[in-house]
Amino acid sequence: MKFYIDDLPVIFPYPKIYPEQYQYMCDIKKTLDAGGNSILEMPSGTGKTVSLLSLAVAYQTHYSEHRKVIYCSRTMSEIEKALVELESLMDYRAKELGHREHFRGLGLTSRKNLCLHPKVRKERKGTVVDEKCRRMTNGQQKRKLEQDPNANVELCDFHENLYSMEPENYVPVGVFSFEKLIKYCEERTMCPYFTVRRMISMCNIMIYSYHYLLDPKISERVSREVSKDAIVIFDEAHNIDNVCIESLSLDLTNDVLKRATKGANDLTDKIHEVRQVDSQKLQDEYEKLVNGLRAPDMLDESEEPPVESPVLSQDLLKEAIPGNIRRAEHFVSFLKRFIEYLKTRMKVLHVISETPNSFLQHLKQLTFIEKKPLRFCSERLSLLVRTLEVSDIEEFNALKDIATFATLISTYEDGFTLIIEPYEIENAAVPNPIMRFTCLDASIAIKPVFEKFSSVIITSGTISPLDMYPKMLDFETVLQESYAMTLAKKSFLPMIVTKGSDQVAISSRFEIRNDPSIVRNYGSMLVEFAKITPDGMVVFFPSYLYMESIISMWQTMGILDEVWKYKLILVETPDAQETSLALETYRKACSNGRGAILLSVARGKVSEGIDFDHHFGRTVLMIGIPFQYTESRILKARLEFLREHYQIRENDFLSFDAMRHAAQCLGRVLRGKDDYGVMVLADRRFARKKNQLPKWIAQGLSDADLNLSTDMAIANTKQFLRTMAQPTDPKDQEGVSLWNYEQLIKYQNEHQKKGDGFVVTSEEKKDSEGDVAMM
Amino acid sequence: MVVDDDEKKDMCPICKTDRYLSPDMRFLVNPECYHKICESCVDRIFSLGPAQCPYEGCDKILRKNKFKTQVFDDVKVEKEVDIRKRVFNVFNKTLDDFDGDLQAHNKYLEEVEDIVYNLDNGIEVASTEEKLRTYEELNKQLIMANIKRSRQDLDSFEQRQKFEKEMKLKKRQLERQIEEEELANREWARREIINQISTAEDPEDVIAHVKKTVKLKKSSARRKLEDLNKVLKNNPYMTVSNGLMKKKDVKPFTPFNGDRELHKRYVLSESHYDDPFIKSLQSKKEYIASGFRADLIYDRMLTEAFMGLGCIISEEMQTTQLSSVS
Repeated sequence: MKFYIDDLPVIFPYPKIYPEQYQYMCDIKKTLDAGGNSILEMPSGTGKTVSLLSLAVAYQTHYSEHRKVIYCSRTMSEIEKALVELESLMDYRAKELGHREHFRGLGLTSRKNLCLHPKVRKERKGTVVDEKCRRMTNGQQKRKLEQDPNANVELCDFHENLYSMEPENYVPVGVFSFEKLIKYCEERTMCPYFTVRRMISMCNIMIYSYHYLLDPKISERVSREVSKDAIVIFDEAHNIDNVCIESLSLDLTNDVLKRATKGANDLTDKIHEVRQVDSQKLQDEYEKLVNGLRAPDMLDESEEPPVESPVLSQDLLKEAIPGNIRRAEHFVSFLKRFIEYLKTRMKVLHVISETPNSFLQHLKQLTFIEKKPLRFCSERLSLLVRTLEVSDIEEFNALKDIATFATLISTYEDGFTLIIEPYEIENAAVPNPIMRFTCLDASIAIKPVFEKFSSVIITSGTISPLDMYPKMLDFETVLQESYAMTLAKKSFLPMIVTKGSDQVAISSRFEIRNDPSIVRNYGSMLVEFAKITPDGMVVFFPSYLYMESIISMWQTMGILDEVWKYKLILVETPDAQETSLALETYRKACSNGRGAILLSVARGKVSEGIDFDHHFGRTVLMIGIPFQYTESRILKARLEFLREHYQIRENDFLSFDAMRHAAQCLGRVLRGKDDYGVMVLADRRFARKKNQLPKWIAQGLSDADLNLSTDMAIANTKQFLRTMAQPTDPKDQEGVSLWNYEQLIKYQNEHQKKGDGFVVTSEEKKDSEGDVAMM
Repeated sequence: MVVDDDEKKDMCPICKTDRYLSPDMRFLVNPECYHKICESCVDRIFSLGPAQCPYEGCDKILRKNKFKTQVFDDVKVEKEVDIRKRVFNVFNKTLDDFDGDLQAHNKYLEEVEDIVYNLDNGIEVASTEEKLRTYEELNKQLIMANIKRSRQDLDSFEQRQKFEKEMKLKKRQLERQIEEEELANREWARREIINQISTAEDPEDVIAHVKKTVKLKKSSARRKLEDLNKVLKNNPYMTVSNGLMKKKDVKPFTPFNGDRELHKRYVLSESHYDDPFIKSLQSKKEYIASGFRADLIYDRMLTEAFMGLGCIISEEMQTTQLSSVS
């Protein structure tokens, strides 16, 4: 259907629209008009992606600025989903408008997922694929081949074929999902990865993962060409602060150091070799450095540096590479000294946490390494590796890590900390030291994005409380909005259970969580819900450790035997393959017979990105609040930083973080308006946290359900399931939670009469809430 | 200790004792030849005075007092760092000594690196040593000054770290205190309200009153925290490190954006001026000898004449205020 928001014609690919979708689009448009950032929380399963895309496309095609759209999502499957959605949207638009628009939409993912080269694609590790690809495609090999046609070099045909074409003609105009793109490229022997990379500037809409914008190692090359007025959308952004932090953090282990030493020794040999065979090459490089040339000057336009700069481009030093690392030999000995120093630091027997500054000071005292050459470390390594044409990937990767570490630690001071932990787990006898350089300030990595682009939209199904994100990421919003869900009948039942059937308070608090009475109460709750839940049921625990201990206690108490009478039990493990097998079995069991229970972990793979729609999940049971492991040094440092710099109290942050994960778990079962499910939060401490849940969940949570015991919750659930079992008339939804065109127009007219339509939205929402309560 | 794959590392090559038999064994090296010997062997062999290195084929004479613990696992790096220590004690110029001339500094850094590399790899050792000695002789004063300076830097760095750590701790304590007091206050208010309601008539009034008293109770800890924050703001060490930045901020207001007008409002053309007095001076030897130049005189006069023109102080005050605010 086609309708107008103010003066903007929006083509929406369905004949009916949810009221919240309309509101959502209005708010996005307002943000874009105002030219600022916004945070929007839209209930899961209400067609967030399609509303985002249809508005963004409409906005782009209608206004003369033709602002590009960058849509960032989290995982490859989500990106693919968005691409397919976009494809069908464009098909619909073509039908509606009567002609195909000149519109390009492409998605980008890692080489690992896109590579077509018969040998390289078989590699299992993503980094190895990247390296092998880079070796074959970075132009150096090609030049060699041109000079000497018999040279023993391997080029990637898929990449070479691109040279014979103009970038505009790589793929025809239109939207290509990954599947379609790979098929298209396979037929024509083209490299899909580079096709997309080179076409970024021609695309009307780009869909890729956050990392391409946030990680300085890749954002500089991939997203540089994107113009400033582009519209940036971060979808599923509830974890965006963690992504920001990860992109500037690095861990080193003894193994890495050992391999790096080997890599450095290999470099020495290689330099020696090259000096004898072709000393001119090293001399050339050296002279260029003396003349103050930097890596970007020396590389060809299309060539990728072997080592990416790990720091944000504005933090790069703009001067010549310092004299003491100009000669290859000097630089290698410099690297060796640095590695040896790191090795001595690894020998600690207790945890050390220090600032980058004190690390540098100590480093200088022991090894006479100054701060400045360290800053240039990754760039210098990149040039050297290029000159020497190093081929060993494994050891080179370790060296790359070292150089990255050196550059990071010497560039950043505030908001970073270095933590050296000698033992992997507490009370371990064998030391396995790990050196973590951690970013504590999520705003550093995302700052360039906010500075460059005028409109950034951050959205997710569960992003409450909204004001935490602007604080943590240090930006200002023009709009923050959380939408309620309009429903014809109450189709989900959130409950907070605080007591067991015997009125003992239940909690996963560390001190009491292994108490037999609490374990038994959780167990009996599981049994009771297993009895009355039809089909699938998902149970979330705060951690693997707790899950294991509680399952073994249930086993001795005979609770699992009881559950087995009703459902099959499956468990998530840290191993990805095992988990996917468990998931598959779970789905099979839900589709046939009595259904199954999946025991999983709140921060695990299952809790993010895997949907349990319809019969795959009728009940979700959250056992305990999923707090982070508070003894973790990194978390402690981050909490301290947040308190000092952003005035966020420790407990506030911990509870915020726990609740966003809990909400994320709850959202797994409700994937649309025709879906229904029971959500149980089982912990005494949830009772006071209602206002930290997303609005759409809190809206369904009546005050009477805040403090239930197990038997009361069971009674509620029985009643709820009985109402759900009644046949529904799809017509009930119309006008309330689903608008057709006339109803939309009616709504728009009403609001225009009232003057400014947007001021009244909150009132409108109250109305719809009332509807739900009445039903 | 770190478990290493090669066992040889933990065995003394002289007496063949390993860590399994004597867990607290320590290894020492002598900077003459960097051969690793365990502590007890060093005591045994060298306590009677200098002796030959017990390694086969090594004919270096070693002294006990030169033995030291190895900092780095890699002997080559250990050796290099020792050489570096010696060289850097002499070649200790910093960028400041080059008046910020980056190119010269880089060249200097490279030279030093060459010296270290040569000494380390035994290339032209004699001539390099010679170079080192001559440089030391020539720049004795500078070297001393730089050593002193680096020591000072180190001291102030350590002091600053200590200071910051202390302040952090204090702040944390106060914050915790405030939190506790707030909690106690809330508890007190709750109880007080219940107590008073039992006797009073208008409960709304009581609640308002109690809440007001709680608000007025500004704890001493809070005041202390404010004081501490003030101290932190004018942290003496912060100004040392960020001296340049800070100075710019505190500089007093001057018109012409700092006493210097870059865009001159006049053009100097000597040929147009005809001043017989100055012309006559121009030909006098005693004036020319002391550096008299007519154009400078004209320039000065014109500057004086144009001084202050086009300078609207109120405007400039505004812009500087704005910039300081932003």
